[in-house]
Amino acid sequence: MLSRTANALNWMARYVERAEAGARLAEVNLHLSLDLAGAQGAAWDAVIETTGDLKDFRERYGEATRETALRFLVLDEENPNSVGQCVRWARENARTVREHLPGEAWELLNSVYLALGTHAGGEPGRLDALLDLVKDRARELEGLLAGSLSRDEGWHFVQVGRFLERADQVSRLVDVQHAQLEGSAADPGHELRWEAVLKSASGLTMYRRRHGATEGRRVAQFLLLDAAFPRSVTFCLAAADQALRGLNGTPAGSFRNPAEKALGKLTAQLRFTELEDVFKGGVHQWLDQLQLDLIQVGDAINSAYFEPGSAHQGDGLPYEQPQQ
Amino acid sequence: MSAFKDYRLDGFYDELIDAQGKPRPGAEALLGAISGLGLDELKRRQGLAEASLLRKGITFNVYGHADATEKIFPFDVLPRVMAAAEWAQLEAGLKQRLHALNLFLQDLYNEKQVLKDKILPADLVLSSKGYLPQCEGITPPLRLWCHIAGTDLVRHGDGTVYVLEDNLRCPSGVSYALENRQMMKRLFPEFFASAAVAPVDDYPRRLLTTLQSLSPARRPGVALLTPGAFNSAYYEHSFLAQQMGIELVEGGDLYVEAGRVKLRSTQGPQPVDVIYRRIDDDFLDPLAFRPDSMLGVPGIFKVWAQGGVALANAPGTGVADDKAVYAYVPELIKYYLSEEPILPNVPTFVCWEPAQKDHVLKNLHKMVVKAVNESGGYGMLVGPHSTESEREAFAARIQAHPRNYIAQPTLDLSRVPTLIDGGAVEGRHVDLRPYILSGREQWVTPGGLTRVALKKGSLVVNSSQGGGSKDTWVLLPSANEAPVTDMNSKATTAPL
Repeated sequence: MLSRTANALNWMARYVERAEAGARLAEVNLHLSLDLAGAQGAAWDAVIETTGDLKDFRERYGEATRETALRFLVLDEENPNSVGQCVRWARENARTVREHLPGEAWELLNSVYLALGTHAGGEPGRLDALLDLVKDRARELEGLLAGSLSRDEGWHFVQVGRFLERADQVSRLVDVQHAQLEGSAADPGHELRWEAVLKSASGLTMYRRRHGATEGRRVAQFLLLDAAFPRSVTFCLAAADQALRGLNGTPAGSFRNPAEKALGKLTAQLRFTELEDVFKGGVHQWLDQLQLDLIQVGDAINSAYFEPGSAHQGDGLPYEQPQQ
Repeated sequence: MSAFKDYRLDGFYDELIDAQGKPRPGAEALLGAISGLGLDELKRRQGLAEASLLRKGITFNVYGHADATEKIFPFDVLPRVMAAAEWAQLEAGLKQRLHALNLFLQDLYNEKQVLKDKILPADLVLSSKGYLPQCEGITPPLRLWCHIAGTDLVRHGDGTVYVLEDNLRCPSGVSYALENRQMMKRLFPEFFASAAVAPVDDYPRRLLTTLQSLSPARRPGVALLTPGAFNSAYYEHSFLAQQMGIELVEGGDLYVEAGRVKLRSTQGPQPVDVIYRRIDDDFLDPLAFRPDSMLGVPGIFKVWAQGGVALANAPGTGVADDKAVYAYVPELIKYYLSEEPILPNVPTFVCWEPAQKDHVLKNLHKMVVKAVNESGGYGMLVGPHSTESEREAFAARIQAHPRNYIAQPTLDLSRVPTLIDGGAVEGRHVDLRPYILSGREQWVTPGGLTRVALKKGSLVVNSSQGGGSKDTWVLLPSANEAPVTDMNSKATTAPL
């Protein structure tokens, strides 16, 4: 497979995941803002900061209101992380690799793109329908690819992109609420906020079945470390690790290039982490480090597979021996 | 016939209706089915077709607009029909023509016997912009230069079909012919019960076989080279690569090493044996042609010249579709094949010849003047529709560069019933572009792409100039005796 193609498949999957996460975030917080009408300003700031864009937002919009925040999160063409822009880039990437995808895949992304382009805005009911469309199409695409892509390189690059992005998105959701985990804020709505976080990760039902009542530390445990919940950071990293090793047929627990090493190490580290370890040096610091580690994994994958002329397996360059 | 209540022939040849207003043979049932639907239903399905084209992304960008304003290539839902016997004649003529043109290219770049025998003037041929001296002495695989041609045919008012031009470089549009058929089967399954229509879906397989036949390897590596996602034909490149299951590559994905062309893959370098390139000669290799080209592959020409890779089409085919060389193709057919041309040329005046130039200048208002190296409907004067000042400007250009111009009498292009914007059915002028594949075997698409000038009275069918396209039906020989209905396709093709 062409390096360029592998890269485009990886980024298509990442942008679809990011668009879906953005749509969930916008939808859940739209509803939450109606429940917590009094405190809405502060909540929107935190929501916008999940993608690290609060500074950009303040410069262009000033104080956050429901309207401006939703515009910024969903349709803003100058916000590279808005749902609309993520859909656009997912579509552009898919367009350059149409010949590697089932015919319907591009049409799915194109239909969301066209719907966003013709969205008139206005009534909340219409925005809900648009966000539903983004989520539905993202899941439809995931199902379509799962049901029709051969399990060769293309599939593995899609999986790596999807799960790394999902791990990243979930860790950001927890980070927004970290202040409450450390008891520095007494927010009367904090249970609703944690439930909003769970809904954003599509995990409220599973959380209830596992832990019952809403409690911040347990939510953090569930979203970061629960090995059985498919959107937890631990689970996503394990899935990404498996997909990346699948490219070379590398056995679990070993590595054949720096990318496999970086991701394998991070995955193992998460597997042997308890909530106490997260709290030891501060939740925010721990999540910051996780973000840095994820960036490093991304860079290692980039230089191993995507950069033209980069070192590949089999071209005579030395790489680390598999470890057992 | 409600949809045809006010239909007028206006003295033109109509592809579906004869001069007496009766359906042509093979079109009876189709015309009945169209009438049975009525105008409102036709319009509804036209709307569905447009929505579907937009969703599939069969669009082009309108420059200067936000990308939400991507426009679809207009598609007209009323098909054009061609009887089996007539098609057989056209198919034979196209094969004959491409056979002769390939012999001509091989001769021209090697022995040049055709010039020595003065079949056509050496100065005219060697001064063509499409003639590449770099290709001299080269014999490509199977001695074939043009593997994929898209020859434009038109029917004049007298009913005769002429070759309008040979497109031997990178002819485009075949994906629209395939998509148009797909669309018709979804939207109008009942039409297909009215006639046995030759299927067109095997083009990608035939193309792949043609490309593979250019390499001696048992399982050759084949790739399609595109200028990139911003090229207006990118959809077609991507469609064909997908249909053939081959890699779609850009110049930067390929490089030359040790006499081979290699592809940068995640598993290291992979050799490529055959490249279907959709990049013009000029941009193919900055070392051999335009040094500023960022689209091509440095060194690829030399690898091709030494037989390390097959290129389809070969570099240098442009000389044979130079519009001045076109005028001599009937002579070339006689010279190489000792046969009479099956398909006639449009009478053509080559301004390079002084006597012919004078005739053209005196009769500009009656003629169509074309620049020899332009395509896409650019660089053209349609005399009867031109103004005095346009004619003066063209006359000056012809005087300055007679080699660059040819002229032809204005043709009364035939028309086909077309659903127009206002919601009525009116006649619109069409041409036809069949695609001819030449590899170990020759093969012609049944029909090809029918392009239609959607503007009332217009003769220019190019998509860049307000043209659209239609599905083209070549009827199977058995159609008249025993109509074949495909029960399966009927059952599964409810409209969208």
